[in-house]
Amino acid sequence: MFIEKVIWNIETIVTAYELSRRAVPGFQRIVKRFQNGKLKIAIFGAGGTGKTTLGNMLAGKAGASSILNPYQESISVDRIKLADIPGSVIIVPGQEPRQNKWDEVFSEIIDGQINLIINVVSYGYHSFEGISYQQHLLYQA
Amino acid sequence: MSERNFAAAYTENRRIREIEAFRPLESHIKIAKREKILMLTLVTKQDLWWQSREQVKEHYQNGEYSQFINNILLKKGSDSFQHEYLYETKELHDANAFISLLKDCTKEKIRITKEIRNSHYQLYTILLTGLFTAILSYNFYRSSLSRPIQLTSAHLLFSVALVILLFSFPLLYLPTKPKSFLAVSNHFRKRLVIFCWSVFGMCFLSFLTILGSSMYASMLILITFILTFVFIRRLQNMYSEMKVIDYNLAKVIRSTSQFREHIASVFVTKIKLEVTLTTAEDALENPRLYF
Repeated sequence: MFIEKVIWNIETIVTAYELSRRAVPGFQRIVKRFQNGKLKIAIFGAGGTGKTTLGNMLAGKAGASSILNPYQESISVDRIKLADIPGSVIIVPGQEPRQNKWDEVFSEIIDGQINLIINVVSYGYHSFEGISYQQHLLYQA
Repeated sequence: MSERNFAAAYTENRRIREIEAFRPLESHIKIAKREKILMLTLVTKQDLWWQSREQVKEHYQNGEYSQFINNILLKKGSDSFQHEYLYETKELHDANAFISLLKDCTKEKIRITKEIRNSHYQLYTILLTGLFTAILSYNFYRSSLSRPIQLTSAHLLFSVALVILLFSFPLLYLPTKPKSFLAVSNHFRKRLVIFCWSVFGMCFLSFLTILGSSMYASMLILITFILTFVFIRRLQNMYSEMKVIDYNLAKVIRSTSQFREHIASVFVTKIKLEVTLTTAEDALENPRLYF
């Protein structure tokens, strides 16, 4: 029942997308512009919230099952080309010591190169790499 | 620090970090040269906060986080800055049904595992009782052939059986709370009770055998065989039930992961289409930004 509803919704959106693509004359040109890498999505957020997973899924680089993979800390700004939507995804490293790497993405925001900013949060449920919670500094404090 | 306290302290600490991480982003969006900026706040890991979803919405849409968004809106204006919160609630609500099904199956598995373990204990008790009683009965029968039956031995066995039986009943009511003086684990208590009842069974049946004849020994062996057969059949049924539960559990786990994949793919499709359509609208409204 639910899956049918979801599929129906997707079909409606896809139909709307197709109709708008046919109806609006300039749309083809816009799509071509996108294909040249015009669309830039920047993903921000604290460490362990799921930025890399989202970025990889948006870019079509990882299957949806990657949400079940263990957490791996990113150490630098990742730039991934989108697979079917033209453009790229920029993912910043979220851990506090690596926040100085955000500056290069900030300069792109100021220059107006970024179309969409996604801030990823998870109500404090951030993953931590490798260690047990008993080894966490907060636990030992 | 307990696990629960750590979880509360950790998430609280990380929520502060989320705000801290957003602060520099806010200041840079405010001075961005772009005429139209689109921003999404994506709240992930819904399976962990689903129980307190109202609090989560309150936290982001009316808390300190929303003040930052409002500050950007005040600075840029609603024409230049568009912001949206993204929660996948309906899909996860349905996913929760899968999770509760998974929990039910797991509970069922735990129940049947306990039942099987208890049945094993009962079977061992019957076998031990039957075996020792048969040996005792045979010895008494052999000795009764050569000399008169010793009633004092029978009385002694009967008394021991009664004492053991009386001793085993309070064991059932021993406290299991760790702070109690007589606290024992449930596992230990069960073993003790089973041991007591085995001894009682042996003593009482031996008493009957001493008073009776070899017929008692034969009857005992027969009863032991019947009971063993019944209990083995019961165990077989339990194992087949366990197989069905295992199969259902595997099915639910498989469908849960498929469902999670489905949610993720729906979510990604939704974002992609939103981004495409919104950017297309943006381009049509402000063609000079694109052409």
